[in-house]
Amino acid sequence: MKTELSALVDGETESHEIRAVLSALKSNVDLRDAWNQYHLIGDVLRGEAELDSDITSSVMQRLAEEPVVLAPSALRQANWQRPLAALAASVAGVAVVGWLALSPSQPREQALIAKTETATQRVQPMAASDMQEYLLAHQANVPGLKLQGGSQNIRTVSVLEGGR
Amino acid sequence: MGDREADRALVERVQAGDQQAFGLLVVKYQRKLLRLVSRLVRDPAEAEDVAQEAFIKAYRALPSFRGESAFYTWLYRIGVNTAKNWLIAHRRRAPTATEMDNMEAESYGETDLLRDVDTPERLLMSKQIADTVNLAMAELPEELRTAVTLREIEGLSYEEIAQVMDCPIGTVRSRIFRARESIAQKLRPLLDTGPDRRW
Repeated sequence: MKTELSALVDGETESHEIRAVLSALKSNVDLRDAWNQYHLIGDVLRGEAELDSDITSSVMQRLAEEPVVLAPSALRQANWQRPLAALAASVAGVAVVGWLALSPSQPREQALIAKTETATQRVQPMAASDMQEYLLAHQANVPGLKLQGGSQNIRTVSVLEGGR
Repeated sequence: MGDREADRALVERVQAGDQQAFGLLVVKYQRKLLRLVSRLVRDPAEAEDVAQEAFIKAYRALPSFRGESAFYTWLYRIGVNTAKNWLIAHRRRAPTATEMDNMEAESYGETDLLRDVDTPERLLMSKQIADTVNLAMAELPEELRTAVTLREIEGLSYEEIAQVMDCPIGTVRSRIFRARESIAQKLRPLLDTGPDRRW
């Protein structure tokens, strides 16, 4: 993995390697030390000053008290996706507005009202007395339904109480 | 993948919540940023504080970093602004834009001006590190020394080095790694890698 790390220092890692190298760096302290040493060697060879300074641990200690940085994933979308997404949203918006503006609204609304009224009529609750008669008739006619007298009464009383 | 793309990959890791990836960027750019800040804030300890502050500011601002400029260019601007604000807060005159340009025009290799306030211990440590690296370089087999020199000092890409050295890119990659590892082995005893220095 150190060969790949060395290539990463130079920005020469293959695209398919970078994920593995970065994951290894996250979990392997020795690799992070090597990352530091390889950069230090380059800085020495280029004659950089401040060779004795290493502020990394101080910065990381301070960062430990900071909230974790999170950028919205949408912001990291590839550039080519952004105009396409905007275009798709615009087209969808125009289509919806156009449909609402151009469609004949009145007949549709009337049809909807008519349907609603029909549906309401169909679910009208039965009166309590009708319900009682219905239940008694049902119990008398269903073969094999062996309800005891007590159960019949309980059910009837329950329906009557609900009707009050 | 180039250096800018490698930085972008690290930045995206940080933006996804990986704080440690930011540490890798600090390691990579701390000496460059410190050198820059030291041109404005001459005291080494104060310059370190300012550089630290610049990194913290960069971390906080990273969600808004879009990658339109290179990460280092963006960090550089934060470093300059942090140093200027520090000078104003400490009632010292911040350099004008022209003075900054003149400082930039100076050779980056010129360090006498910066080092005259360093402590003897710091100078000694810097000298030991530089001597160790230079001695280890001198002891490298020629093909390793040439490869790492072309990369680190001349800034050539692996492809360009392969053309210069007339060898495959994979060989360049291997030679540069072996050179670094050989030098690092001699450098490690000098570096403090104790638990308190690790992150």
